[in-house]
Amino acid sequence: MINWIRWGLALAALLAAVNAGWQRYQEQVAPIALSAYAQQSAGTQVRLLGRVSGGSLKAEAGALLFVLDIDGQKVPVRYTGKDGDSVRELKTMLVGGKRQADGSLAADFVGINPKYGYVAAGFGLVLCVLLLRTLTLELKLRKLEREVA
Amino acid sequence: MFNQLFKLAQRLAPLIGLAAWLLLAAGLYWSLVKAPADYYQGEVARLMNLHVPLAKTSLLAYSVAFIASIVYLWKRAPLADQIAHAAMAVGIVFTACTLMSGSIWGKPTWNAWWTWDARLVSFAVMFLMMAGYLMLRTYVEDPERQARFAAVLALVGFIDLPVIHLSVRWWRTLHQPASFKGAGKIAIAPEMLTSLALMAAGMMTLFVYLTLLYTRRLQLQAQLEQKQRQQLMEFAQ
Repeated sequence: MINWIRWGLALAALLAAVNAGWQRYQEQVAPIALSAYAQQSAGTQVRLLGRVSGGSLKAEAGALLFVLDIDGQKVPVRYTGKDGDSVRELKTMLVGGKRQADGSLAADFVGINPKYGYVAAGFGLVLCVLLLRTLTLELKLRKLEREVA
Repeated sequence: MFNQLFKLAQRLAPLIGLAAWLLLAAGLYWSLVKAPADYYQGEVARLMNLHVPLAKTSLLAYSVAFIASIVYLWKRAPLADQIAHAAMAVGIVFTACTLMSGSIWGKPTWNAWWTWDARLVSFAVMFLMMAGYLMLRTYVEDPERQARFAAVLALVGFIDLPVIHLSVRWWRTLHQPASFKGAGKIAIAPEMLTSLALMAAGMMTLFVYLTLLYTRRLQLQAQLEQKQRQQLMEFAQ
């Protein structure tokens, strides 16, 4: 019974942490698909992942103008936030901002491609290995204790 | 004295195990939710909260095995040999996880799953030393000789640990240099340090828990073998 409570507590805590991580990813990192972007009303906060088109990057007073290429579809972007020096042509970037009525994006955030799959794979794989090792060792020990007794 | 302390630790093992997983859950929450993404590496840098504590725990495992092996060769105490064996058996899991997590981080960052870098190779050598140690223990049948040979191998393999630590200073490597350079010289933002500390505490507590379990397993196996030998002798008489 105590073992069940112990394992229940540990698994519940891990699942709660994983769920919180997943929620943060959905709210702060995950980009939306272009088809979903087209359906958003003007002024909606969105994130898009795409490549900065070659030859499209231009600096204007207090803003960077570039075109984001998402699977061959073009989205014009006007970026007015910080750290604009990280924007490079042909670089895949995560761009966040408000959708405009003409379909362009008024961006206030740029970040590098999050590649979150690697983060999920790393944490998932290692925690599964450690959980399995703990479980198999505990089961083996219980079996041995029964045999010795 | 040490035997009594160890027995007490074994009795407290279930609590230690629970504490380990709760610390890991807190570390996981901090790593995935609270810690900010890195300016250069982005979200992928979160894997450092996993990889670095795993690496530190692997080094701790080998160090425990090294100290226990010295104690065994000096005092010939079976418990020291069992602790060394357990630390290696548990440590190899952490070492394999270190190599795995490093590889998963390396692909999006260096665009390579593996590279023949001094730090990576010296760490892989430690994994092979641990595998060799565990294989040696299965090849030698006489328990006393097995323990002695294994202890000597653990001592010889310890040479690799300073090489791992200093490899990023001795050679120009792709692997970044150490971020901890003594007290007051930590090249990590404080908000990132909390997640790293929680994960490190969780991993090391889990190592202690698994080592206690494995040592108990070795003790029970020895008892069982003795019991079977007695039964066989009684049957023969």
